[in-house]
Amino acid sequence: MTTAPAAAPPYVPAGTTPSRIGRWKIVLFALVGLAIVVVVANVVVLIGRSGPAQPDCQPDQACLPQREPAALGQRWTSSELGFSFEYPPDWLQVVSQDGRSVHLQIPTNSFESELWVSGVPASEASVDQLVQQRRDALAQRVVGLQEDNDSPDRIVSPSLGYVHGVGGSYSGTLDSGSGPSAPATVAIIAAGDGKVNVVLSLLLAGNLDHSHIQNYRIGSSRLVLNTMRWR
Amino acid sequence: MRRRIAVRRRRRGLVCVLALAVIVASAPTAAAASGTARGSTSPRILGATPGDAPVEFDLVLDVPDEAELHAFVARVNDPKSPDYHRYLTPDEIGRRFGISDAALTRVESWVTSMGMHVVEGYPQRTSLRVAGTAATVNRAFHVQLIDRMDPATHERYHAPRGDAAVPRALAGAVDAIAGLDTRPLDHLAPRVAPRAGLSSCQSDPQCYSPERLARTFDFAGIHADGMQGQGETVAVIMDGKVSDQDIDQWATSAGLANVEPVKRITVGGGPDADEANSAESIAEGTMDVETVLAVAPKAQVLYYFAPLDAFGDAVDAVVQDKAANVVTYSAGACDEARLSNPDARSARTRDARAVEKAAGVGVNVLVSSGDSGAYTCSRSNPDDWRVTGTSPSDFPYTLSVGGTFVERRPDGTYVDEAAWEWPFANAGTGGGLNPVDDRPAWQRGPGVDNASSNGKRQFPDVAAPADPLSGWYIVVNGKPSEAGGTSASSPFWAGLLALYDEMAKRAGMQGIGLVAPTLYAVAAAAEPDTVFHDVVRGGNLFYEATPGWDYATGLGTPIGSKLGAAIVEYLKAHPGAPTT
Repeated sequence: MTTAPAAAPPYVPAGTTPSRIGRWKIVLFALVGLAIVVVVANVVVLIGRSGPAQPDCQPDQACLPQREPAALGQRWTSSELGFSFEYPPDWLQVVSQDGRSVHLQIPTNSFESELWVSGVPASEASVDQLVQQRRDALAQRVVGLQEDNDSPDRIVSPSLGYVHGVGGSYSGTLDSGSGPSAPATVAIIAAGDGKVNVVLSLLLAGNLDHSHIQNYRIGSSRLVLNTMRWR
Repeated sequence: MRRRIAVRRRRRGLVCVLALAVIVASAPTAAAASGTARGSTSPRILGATPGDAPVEFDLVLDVPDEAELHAFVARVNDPKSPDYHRYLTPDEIGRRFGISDAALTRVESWVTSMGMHVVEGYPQRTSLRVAGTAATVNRAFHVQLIDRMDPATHERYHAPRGDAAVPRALAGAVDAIAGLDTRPLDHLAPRVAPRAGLSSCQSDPQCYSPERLARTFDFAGIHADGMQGQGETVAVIMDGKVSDQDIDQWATSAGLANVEPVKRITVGGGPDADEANSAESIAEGTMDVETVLAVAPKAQVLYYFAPLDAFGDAVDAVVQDKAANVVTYSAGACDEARLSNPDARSARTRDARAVEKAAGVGVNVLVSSGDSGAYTCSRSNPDDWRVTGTSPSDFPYTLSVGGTFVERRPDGTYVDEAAWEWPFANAGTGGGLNPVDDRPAWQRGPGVDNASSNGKRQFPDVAAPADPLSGWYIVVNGKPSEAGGTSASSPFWAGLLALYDEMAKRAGMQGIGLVAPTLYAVAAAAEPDTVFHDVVRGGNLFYEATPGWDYATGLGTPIGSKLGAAIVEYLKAHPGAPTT
């Protein structure tokens, strides 16, 4: 970083003194200037004090974080859209990614897993459309995929990065290519900040009971959900 | 009046740990332990309870002028009242608001005449714990106790066929009978696993060591000023066996020296062996003790070892002993479910009165707000998604403690915070509206009157970290773990109140008294985010965190030294009478 040299003070010839009126004007200007500075400073302080009522925290609007998060895991950022989140590297590994989406999975041979996070500009697709698109995509791999509102794993209050959205819990049977292979549960949530809409889906397939499903859902997704930043 | 007769309880009662919350960050390879949520299927009838089976229950004593009790507790905590902070002694509370000596003698004589005996009673005259056999109970109340089994949990319990009515001989002295139906409304379902590689909190930058905790919530300065809970006593009510070895190992690895050994007081016959030795109960009790000490390392912890269905008795025991003015309890149940069951409703009445009388004596009863978001009933019935209260956290005179997720830097300094909710697991901080009890007069301030307000008690009052991701360092069964849930939030605040009590005493007062009214007054008078972190993100799966008070985090989380200073200043400005 370089700095410009400080400007030299204006030259005042020795012996030239301002007149009385000039001196009075200087005092007046100084007082006016001081008053302006005081008013501006007060305005700045008042604006600063009203921080908690910033536009992001208005009623019926999403209240988004103001500060940079403290790193709890590995951060993934969408290079095209700017949204980001952290994931636990001891729970999840990145399988593939592009500028808008990332596919992660739990590194285990005991069951199949897929955590998919993908975003679009809000003008391209609504959150409802994103859920439908993910559901359609997963239906290619999960036979008989249907919403499961009776499940104890149902999602009663979908939200992503503390922004309320839409979503649901689904079940079916994973198609291994040679036929249905294992029971599958799917959770899909989509939400947006008005500019970007993001969808997250989590597929778990295998002989997992309710408690395992809960455990893996929590372990793999809580950091993602907690640390989502929209830009 | 207090008598101790070692009669062991056979069953865990109606109120069980809901907010238990040792939920540990476990890697995929770690065992996914868990409880299975109990369904709403009908119980299996096993047959009549054998006549010689021991049975314990409570006779809930009448409060001749309950309106006057409410009025007194309101006055004694109202700084504008001449009675402000003129707390009564437990005996005075009992004599002024309880049944007469003659009525008490009449009840005791009746119990004896029925072949039963009083196990325990307290000077506050809230209830009498009575022991007998199934045969004597059947005869006394004209019921038949039936043994049953919960089909999901296989827990055995007994319940009367029909509702037990108060005998005519006890009219005017006994309000209700509680504890004959011992079916748990809820049960423990934590995920407990040691965190791999966590040998010492100091070595893990994300671990919430006492030192980092103090930095995050700005009470390191209080510690540095020499106030770490010296001379303060905090009571923990819980049902699990707590090991001194765990406490010592935790203290050593957390960098704390000379922690006072925990003193144990058994309430009644204490929990039965199954309850006391369950992994969940041990973890809960251990976490509660360690969390109090993390905040107030020089405080004396009294561990009131009590079955979960004896919460009211345990509160009475603490108040009778006058050994602590801060009590923490991390359990609860769906309030609506308690109200819909006659026996549970009676127990709820007993518990609420015990807490109200504690408020009249100046004892703070802190209770976690639950871990199922606004849907506490779903914990025991997966088909019940009503937005409900959490009992006893939603009682008018508790200090109800909710939970948050905190983002902090590796050195512990605070970054940001959100109300704790996990949409994928339907878990999160409890909070909402008490279904029947009115809001106390002191619950007011920005955010309190809102679109959901209906005049009933709103909870929680305050919050603290609960998400295990920003959770607590504990040692259970010799294993360092990271834990969370609102179960941890309540003992955190209990430790903090011990520090504030010490600050008040150092400032020449005799203590903080019942602190809830002071917290609301201080919060209302302060600029936002100067004494509380106002949590405005997240929610509890139903209510959102909003500026000012909200149903997810109450007033927010503490900015420790500033809140303490504000409390002391407030008390100086409203001196009242010395607190007991």
